[in-house]
Amino acid sequence: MNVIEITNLKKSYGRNSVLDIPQMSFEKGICVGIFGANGCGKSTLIKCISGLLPFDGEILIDGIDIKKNPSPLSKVGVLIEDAALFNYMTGRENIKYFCKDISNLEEYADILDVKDILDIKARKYSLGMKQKIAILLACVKGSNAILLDEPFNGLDVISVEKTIRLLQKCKQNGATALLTSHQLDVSENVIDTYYLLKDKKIFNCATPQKELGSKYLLELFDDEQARKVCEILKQKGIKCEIDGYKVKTELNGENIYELVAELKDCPVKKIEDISYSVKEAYLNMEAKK
Amino acid sequence: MKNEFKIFFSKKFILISLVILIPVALLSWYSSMKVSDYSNQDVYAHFIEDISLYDSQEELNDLYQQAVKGELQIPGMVITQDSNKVAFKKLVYEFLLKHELPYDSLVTYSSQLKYNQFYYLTAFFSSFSLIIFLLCVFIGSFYHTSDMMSKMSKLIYTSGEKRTKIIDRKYFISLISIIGIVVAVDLIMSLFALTVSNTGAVYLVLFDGNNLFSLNYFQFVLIMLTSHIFFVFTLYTFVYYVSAIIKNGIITICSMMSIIILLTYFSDNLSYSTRMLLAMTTQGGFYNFFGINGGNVTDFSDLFLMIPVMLIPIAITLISRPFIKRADYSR
Repeated sequence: MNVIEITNLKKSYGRNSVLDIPQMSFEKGICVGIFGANGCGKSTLIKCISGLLPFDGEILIDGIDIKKNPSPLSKVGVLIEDAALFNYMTGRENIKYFCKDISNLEEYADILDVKDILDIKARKYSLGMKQKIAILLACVKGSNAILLDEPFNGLDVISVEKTIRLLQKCKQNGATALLTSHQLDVSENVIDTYYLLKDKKIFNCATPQKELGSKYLLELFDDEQARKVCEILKQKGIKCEIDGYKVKTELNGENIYELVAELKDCPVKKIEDISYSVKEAYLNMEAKK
Repeated sequence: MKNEFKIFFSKKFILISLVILIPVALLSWYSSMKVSDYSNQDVYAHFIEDISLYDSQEELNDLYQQAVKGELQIPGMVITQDSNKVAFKKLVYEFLLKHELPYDSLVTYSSQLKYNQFYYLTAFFSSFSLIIFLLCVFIGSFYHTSDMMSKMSKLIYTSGEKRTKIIDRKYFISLISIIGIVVAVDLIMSLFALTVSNTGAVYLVLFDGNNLFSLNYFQFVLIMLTSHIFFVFTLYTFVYYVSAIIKNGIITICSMMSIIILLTYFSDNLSYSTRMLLAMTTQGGFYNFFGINGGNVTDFSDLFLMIPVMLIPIAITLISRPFIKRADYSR
């Protein structure tokens, strides 16, 4: 079942049209990464889904049109750009104020490692602490969906890892997460599918590897064998490059292990996956599309 | 609800407004009253004009008979201010006789500094009205828009509640809080006026040209309080929902102050009704109709001006609805 369904979404700022999405939907329990160039409309999309921006078209959350009835948003956690909390309340009080159901609070706080700052007044938080509490608030509130726009701003490396783990936990609990981030490599571990936003349109990229193929480094025993393997691969129409006794190859859907099994006369010492990172995939896709 | 009150009183600009404005009002009022030295003045001269001093009920009865004769001696006269005065004098003497009151029991409405609790309170209410005006304009301009300035709007307007419901709840809480503060200060000063300035004046009298109306101190306080509540409701509602439309507290406050300054500057060119309407919306509410409009006459029909004064903020509230529904609360 789709948690979020978008139909004919159009958004303009004055005469400048930013979004034009005919159809888009997100299933339960997945994490979606939305990426694109600066100013392409990623934040605008998140703001429309969260109900902060008026828009033309229809957005259903749990089957309910949020324009007519915003009640589904009570189970949607939101973090857009800078974290905002009531300064005179503690982190815990802020979460209790905005979340109807806080049964996951202690568990999520443990994963994010913020239990020791939950009962401190928000005015005493540093930027990173505020960001972490805001992420926690979004995850506790978002039992249906979590919308995060640049959530890793101001976080150290360890906090980013913990945030990723928290999002994985939220996914397990059935929440759907929409994530926009410029730190694509970091969020790779939690994102199930990518969407590229370009020229007001959105493209489902599945995973970068599916889109652009996989790359492997085959280590042979000597140069001669490497040359033989390369010739065999070229005959099969597979791109490859020799580097001493190593062969770099790019596959488009072929199974590397099945290929290696066919190379009986040239045993392979080692196979290394050097596929496109999300960052490289994005740069390639930007160039292609 | 409890959380909403906590949020209201946690806003720095509200606390600063209250902490600065109310003591300033009370201090300036105390200073102005303190310098008034009544010991050298003939206090008896400061009561109702044209009413002669008397020491006994017999003297009063003579004065009343003279007033009756004075009215009868000019039959068929053209109604003028003078004839209003004659009728007024007669009714005042009649009232004094009926209730067996001494000379200094009656006062008419005036904001001039005079030595009794009615005038003391009137002067305070008039100057406090300016503070209330500033409070309503300042808080009304910034209370709703402060959520956007602090970026809390991104959490508040994604809570799953309708935007109009959120804004209306904030309006209700803030209105109740301001009314509560105003009523508390007014009541404290009402008691204070009674303790420092009670000269024995019992009634405040109003004359509509034909009849005499009297208010005792309690009734007078009640009317002034109601006027202030009416004032807060109309002014605050107007400013709050204008700021909800404009979504910018600074522009709202500048617009309001500009309009008021312009209207006040050109008030001489305005009709009486417009000036009264302006007074009701910017100077403490409907009690301004007490103000004497020629002679001793109070025009009670001015009370009907309350209707347009109330309709304007209600209209603004309704006009604000589509603006709220289409607003961008993401910034």
